[in-house]
Amino acid sequence: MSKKNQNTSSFSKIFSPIIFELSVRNLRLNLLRSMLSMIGIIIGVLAITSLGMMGGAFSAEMTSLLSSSTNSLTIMSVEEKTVDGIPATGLSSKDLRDIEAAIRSATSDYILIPMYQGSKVAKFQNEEFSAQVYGLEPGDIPELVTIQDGKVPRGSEGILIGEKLAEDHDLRIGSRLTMTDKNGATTAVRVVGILENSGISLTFSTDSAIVGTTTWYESIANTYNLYSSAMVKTGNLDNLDAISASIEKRLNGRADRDTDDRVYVMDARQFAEIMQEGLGMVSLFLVAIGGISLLVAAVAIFNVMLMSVNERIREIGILRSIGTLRNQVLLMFLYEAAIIGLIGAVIGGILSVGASALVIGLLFGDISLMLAPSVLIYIPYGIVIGILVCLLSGLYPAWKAANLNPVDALASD
Amino acid sequence: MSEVPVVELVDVYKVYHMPAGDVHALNGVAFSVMKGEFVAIMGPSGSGKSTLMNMIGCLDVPTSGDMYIDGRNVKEMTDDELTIHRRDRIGFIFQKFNLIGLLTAYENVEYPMILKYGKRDDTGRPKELLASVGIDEAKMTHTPFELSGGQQQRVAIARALANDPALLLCDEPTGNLDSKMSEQIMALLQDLNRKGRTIVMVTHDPHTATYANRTIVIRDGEIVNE
Repeated sequence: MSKKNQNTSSFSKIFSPIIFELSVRNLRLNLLRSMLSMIGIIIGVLAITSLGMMGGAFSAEMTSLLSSSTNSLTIMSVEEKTVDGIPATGLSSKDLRDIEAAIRSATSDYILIPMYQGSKVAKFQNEEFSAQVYGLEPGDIPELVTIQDGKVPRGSEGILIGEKLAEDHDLRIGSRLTMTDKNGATTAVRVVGILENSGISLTFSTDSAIVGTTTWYESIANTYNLYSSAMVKTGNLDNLDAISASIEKRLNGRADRDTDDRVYVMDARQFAEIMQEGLGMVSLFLVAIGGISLLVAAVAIFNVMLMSVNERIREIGILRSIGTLRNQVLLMFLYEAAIIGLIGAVIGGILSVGASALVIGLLFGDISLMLAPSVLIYIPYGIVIGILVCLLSGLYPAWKAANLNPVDALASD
Repeated sequence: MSEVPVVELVDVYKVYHMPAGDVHALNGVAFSVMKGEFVAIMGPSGSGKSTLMNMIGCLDVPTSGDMYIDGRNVKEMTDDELTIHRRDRIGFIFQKFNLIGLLTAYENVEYPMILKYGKRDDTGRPKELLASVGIDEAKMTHTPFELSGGQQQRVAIARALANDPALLLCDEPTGNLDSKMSEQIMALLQDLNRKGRTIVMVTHDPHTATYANRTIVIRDGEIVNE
């Protein structure tokens, strides 16, 4: 019998319906005050959630533009060379041989793709535009790009163009582009294929570019037999670090010395990481701005709760004297904070859906960005953070109430 | 086997440390209350009778000396144990009634039972208690502010009895009531005592004290007459 009583009393320490009832009634008694605290939390949650969702949508939009082919290294020359008395930069065939030897010492699973890269003004049907131009060995072209329509060009006949470039200038297979050749004379070239969009990368982005063979490239630009860069691809991503280290060691010598370097090795993953990091910072920054309004709400709740405790000192004394445990008094005030937090945060969460739809629709013109899990996740996050902030601001007032001396509390007016 | 006193004080001292100096509220008080007694504690204001009352009510503990309730030394009890003792073994009746304003008369009586059993009452006891102190059903759903002083004190008595306490502790129970109402409340308490309830009552009114069957007079923190 007495064991059973012990059990019920330990349960009532965790949840007391009557204590909860007291909290609800006190909130109702001070309805205006409760509502004002709630509005603070609604605004706070609305701010962090919708700003978070906005950042998330922005990040999702940007990430979708990032190239998926990150399993590569790009090597560029940093050495000043002189060809026929003219200063030039680029990878010589000796550089390439050394690079290949370095790679081979790390792995046999690789493809080394040297490429020319530059920018050229092209003209189509009286419209001039500037585009990035790449020159690749015909055999390497299928390794780097996916041809949506058409075929790989041979020799100096024909070029491939990115899908976006084609769309932007109404180009199709068979379109003839005119541009100047390396001697300044006008030359024409025919589009023989369209490339699939592949996203943005720091070193190789073909969406708005022209891709031709090395032979063709050498006919439109002076290359001095120096390649702009070389890309290394490997079947196993884990090899990239070893390859990078091997190239650095063979061509650049000591790792702690960057003078007299011959090449610069860029890891595509770094670019993707830096981009992701930057986007993450943008989201975080936006959420932090929203967090300020939540902080203001927290201070308001803290203040209201503290006022409530001071007004109810005598009542707390009565409750304590007739057998209400400290924990139960603590709970009574935490329930109040939790109720304000729960209702306010849920309302804020719901409103943020509308607010984000509006803002995302206006900024990106595509409301469906909101439906990405990485964007929607901000709603539960915002709600949980709102509730936690309320509980945290209620903690000290509740603790203060629970630790009042019953005798002093009873004696107060 | 000798009977265990409901409350036993052995050489109890209580000192409050105030900025202006120590206040010796109790100076070696010793007495016991046996089951079924009706004890009045009398004394002028500042005599220490409120301190004594708070101590018997387990709201305060001695600075030195020992106090036993149901044979247990309060020095060895935690705050939660003292609270549970107040809930289950002591019924408080205050001068200012001290009902909970957020609850109705019925709920005020039910409250200590919910604290004890962790659930709403299903025995009908709060109604029986309220009826026994003369609160009719229509008044049970009223909040304390809608009741007269006498009615509030009746509800408070019903609340004090809710968990069938071993001791009723009354602090100036008629202090805020007119003489007619006072008579009624004292008659109610006397009746409860006759039915076997142990009562300790603090009062400064000699007339009220005549209802008790034993009177302790306290002055300057010491018992001067018993």
